[in-house]
Amino acid sequence: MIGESPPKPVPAVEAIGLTKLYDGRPVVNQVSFQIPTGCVYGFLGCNGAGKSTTTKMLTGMVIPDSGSARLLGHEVSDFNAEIRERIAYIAEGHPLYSWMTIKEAVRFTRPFYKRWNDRLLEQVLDHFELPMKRKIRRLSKGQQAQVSLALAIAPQPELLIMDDPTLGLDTVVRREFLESMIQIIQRQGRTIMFSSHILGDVERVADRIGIMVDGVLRVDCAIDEFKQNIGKMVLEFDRPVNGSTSFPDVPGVVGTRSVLNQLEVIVVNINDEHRRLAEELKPRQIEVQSMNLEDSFLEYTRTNRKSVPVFVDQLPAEKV
Amino acid sequence: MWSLALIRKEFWQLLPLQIVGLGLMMLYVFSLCGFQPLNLSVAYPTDIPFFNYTTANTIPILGGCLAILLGFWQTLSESYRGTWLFLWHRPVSRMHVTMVKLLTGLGILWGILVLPMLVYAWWASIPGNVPAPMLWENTAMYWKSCFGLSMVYLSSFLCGLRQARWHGSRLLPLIVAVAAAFTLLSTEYLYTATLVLIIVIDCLFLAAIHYQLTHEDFS
Repeated sequence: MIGESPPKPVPAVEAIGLTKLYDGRPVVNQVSFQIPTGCVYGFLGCNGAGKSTTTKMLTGMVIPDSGSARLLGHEVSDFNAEIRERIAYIAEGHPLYSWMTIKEAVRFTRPFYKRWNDRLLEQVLDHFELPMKRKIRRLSKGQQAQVSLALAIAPQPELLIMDDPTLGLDTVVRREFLESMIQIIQRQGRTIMFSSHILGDVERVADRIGIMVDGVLRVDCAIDEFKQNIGKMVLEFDRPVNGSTSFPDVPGVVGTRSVLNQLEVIVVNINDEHRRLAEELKPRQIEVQSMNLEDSFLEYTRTNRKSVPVFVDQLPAEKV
Repeated sequence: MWSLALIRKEFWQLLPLQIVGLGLMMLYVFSLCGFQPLNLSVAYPTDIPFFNYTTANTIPILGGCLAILLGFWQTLSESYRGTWLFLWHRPVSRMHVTMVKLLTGLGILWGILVLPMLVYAWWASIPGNVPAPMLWENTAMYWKSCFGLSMVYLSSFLCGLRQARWHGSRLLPLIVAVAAAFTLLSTEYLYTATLVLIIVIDCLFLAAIHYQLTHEDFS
């Protein structure tokens, strides 16, 4: 008897060619990725990179111009109440009815759900020491984020999608919020996807990352894989290279930057072709350096800034 | 029940409007009964209850303003706070949520318009208060006005929901509804036909609201 292979697990999130145009311009362009169940996925990108629009397309708030998305194996466009109950979504800015007290917000939200866990909610509210009778508008931004999180997890969702949940929070509150989020949510193999423009937040808690640049998903891999595969070739010349020497735009080259007599080339998976092209430029020395995550992220998200400004007194005397 | 929670939320959210609307209506009704609170001559007692200029014109204007404010308040307050995103992600269809919002809004509108006038009808039916007897058939125009204001309310809700430019087509549904209300509510003739037309226009606005809910981006 031939053994049957176990069924392939359904990814918690699956985006296929998501595209959104505003005024004919793509703000999200052919974005495809998968998030396995139980994964914490950090969705990185600068402001305006398309993170929020992608997140909203995943939750059905924005309708894609092309492409589709599946959450927990169900088409977003066909979501019914049962599926939506299994997915929590915290929108950017933690929108809540500011005139309600926390108690009223709970009383308003609870009747929508069948699987509402009052005990879990109380535990979370106690953990954050939130005053139930306080109006939401009187809470700090950090406390509002905590209320949003408490309301989102009380129905015990299998998937939590958060759009920049730490936006506007100070460092201490941000770290506490993220740690609590992981502690509370990720038990029992739940999946979390959260967008952020703060690398430290993502690095601390995420298993996988996606990096959006100008509406395009440039990176989608495990954090360690990303750190290992991105490197920098530093080409040192006898003369200043600012603008005069450029590296060919071949696959794998993320960006180049010239600083005085050095040309830095950021490359994914450096290979012999990259080395050959570097040698053709006849530098005095070629050095391959590894990069930390922050530098890698910055290089990925850098746009149209291939050259660092050079101050006048750093140039050789005859050039001034 | 989520619908009760939503009705309660809408009721509290619209409370300032209800207080102002009810206050104005009571002021009007008191004036019709001959009491002039604060010495404001808002209206004067009439010979035939409900069969006069004030109830035929003042109520649609007052009610129309209230209907517009209710429709915009219910939608724009969600837009400006960003709470559509919170509301639409609840495990209930958007149309169900919207229907509950609309029924609450209409209930409040009709409550504010009808309850004070019932007080007036009761007062007018007491012998000796007005020269003519209080006849219910005279209230027909008034009920039609109340019913017809649903067009103005639904169009305002639609305008609030739409993302079009304010100086563009956004207010077009409201302009259409006001024109329809002006035409249909000012005629005493073709009573059944005007009621049917009001229902048809309401259905068109409901269809447009449904289209907006399923085809509009909420961001």
